[in-house]
Amino acid sequence: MSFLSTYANPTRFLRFAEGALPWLSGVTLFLLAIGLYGAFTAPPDYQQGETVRIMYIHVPSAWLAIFAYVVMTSASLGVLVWRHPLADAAQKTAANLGAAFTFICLVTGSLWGKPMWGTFWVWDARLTSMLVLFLLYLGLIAVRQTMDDTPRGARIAAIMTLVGAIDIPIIKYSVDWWNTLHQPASVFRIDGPAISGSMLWPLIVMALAATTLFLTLHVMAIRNEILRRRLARLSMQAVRAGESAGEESMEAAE
Amino acid sequence: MSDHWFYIAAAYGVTIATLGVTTLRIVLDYRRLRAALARFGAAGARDQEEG
Repeated sequence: MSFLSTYANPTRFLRFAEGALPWLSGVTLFLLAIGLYGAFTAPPDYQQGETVRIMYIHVPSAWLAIFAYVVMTSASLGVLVWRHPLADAAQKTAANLGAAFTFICLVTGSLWGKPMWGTFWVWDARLTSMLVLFLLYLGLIAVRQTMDDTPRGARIAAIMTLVGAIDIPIIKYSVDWWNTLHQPASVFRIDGPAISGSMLWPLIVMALAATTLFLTLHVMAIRNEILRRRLARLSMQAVRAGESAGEESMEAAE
Repeated sequence: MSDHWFYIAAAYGVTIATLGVTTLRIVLDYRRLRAALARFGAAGARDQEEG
């Protein structure tokens, strides 16, 4: 909590970003290199053959699509409870990243589905709930673009995010609650992963790489949002200064 | 590679393109904002000197 209160100050956050970004980028590149090496040297699946290599990008992107929404939900609470501008910036910027990861998840899933299921798309519970998540992200991005950076816009986006959070457990448990073409969970299971260790480690490394990539891009995007708001404030001050100077010169002329 | 190489290459291609465009947009946005803020800083300093 003290970490949060320390870095919740925009100026302190900019200093934190300055120091953290080189490390985050370095760790991401390192993990990506190891993960991709593992993804392309892991043995082919006995049923799916080489096509299983799509798993190393599809599964991490699905996890990150959900993780981004969890980040947005937490930030929305920060907006509604504490009305903190940094929470608002975090909520706003995570939507673009979440949409990107959800898009990757849907497209790679489709490209995996065609050779394995014989179709690019089925209106299956998991696929449909993931598509709903993508539409939620697009809706939230549209709300932010139409309402600018007003406190009202931030509150509406935060409430929409909290309402949309109902989709997260639906995505997670859709494969258990309904009969789906999509396979059930094979990593996070009570009785342990149902996946061979030779395939599991590259998957975990790729998931860590995707997580650090998300964190890197999120810190960069929050930094941009802080600078954008500073610029808007300075522009507004310059306009006001110009207006008052104009009024003074008109009064002097009169 | 199997007969399904097209699907594997397309999946990795779409991922690289999407993440590449996302990263590039953020980096270019940062450069644009820094340049705009620097112009404001320069204008502010000029105003102070003139004032």
